Amino acid sequence: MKKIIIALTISAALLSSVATYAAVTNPDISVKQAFAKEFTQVKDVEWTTIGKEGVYEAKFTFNNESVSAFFTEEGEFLGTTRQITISQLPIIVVTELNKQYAGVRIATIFEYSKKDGPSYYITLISEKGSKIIKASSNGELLVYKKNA
Amino acid sequence: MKKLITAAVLSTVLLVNAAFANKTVTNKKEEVNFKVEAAFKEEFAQAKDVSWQKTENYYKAVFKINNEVVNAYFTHEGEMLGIVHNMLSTQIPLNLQTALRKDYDGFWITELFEFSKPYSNGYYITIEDADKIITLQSTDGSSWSTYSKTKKQ
Repeated sequence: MKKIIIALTISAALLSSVATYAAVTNPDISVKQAFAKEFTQVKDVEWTTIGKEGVYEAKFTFNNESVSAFFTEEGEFLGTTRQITISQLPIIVVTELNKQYAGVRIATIFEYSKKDGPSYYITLISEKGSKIIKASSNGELLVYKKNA
Repeated sequence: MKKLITAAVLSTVLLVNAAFANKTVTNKKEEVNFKVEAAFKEEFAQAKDVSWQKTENYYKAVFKINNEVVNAYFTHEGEMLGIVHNMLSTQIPLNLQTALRKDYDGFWITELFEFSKPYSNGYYITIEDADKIITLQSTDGSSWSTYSKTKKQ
């Protein structure tokens, strides 16, 4: 249950400006060690906490891209998020989008990478309104949120 | 049989696409059979700059989607076997990028592509250092496993 709440907290942080952010913080050494293990050679990390579930967010630059990584207060690595372009989507996702949402404009794409693989949150805009599509890397598309 | 052909497609790609090395590229409509053309249009309605190559076992379409060059393979019956898309390292999922940085620091990349079939997607990367050539695969987008490893002569 806690993992579901944490996943929802990260999704909210990913997709909304209303996520509850605390001030910049200095996490426990176990969190910093977990970060160093996952992201070798990364420096200049900015730490914040999000929500009320004790989730730490580390913001940094990796391969010239802005990335956020999430950890529990015990130092468990939860995943990463980054904003990407359509050229970074799996081609099978692109072809499914073209088939199911031809002519619809893509506003933003976020990648949420967890231990079991990535998923993609794609905000689409048309004359009828906007929606967020959650895509799995095998090309499966689900409506995550309408009128986003 | 289908699995064997699909494996053959992947092997072909990994071996620098030898099966197509001496084939003539064509974009003439009449040289692609109706079933293949229909399957292609259904799958890739927004494809641009399409050209075709044909071998004894399958067709290969080379085209662009969103300015990315993509290859798709079909049987003569119009069944799609797979899609191959050459990529930059920044185009793969972040977990795979960080895993490369952690486990293969000092290697350089000589080839990287995604190989998609209906309802599945995987990444293949060939990296080298002074002593060896390693091809890694990821079928879940989260971690790499070794596909092949050879020592340099």
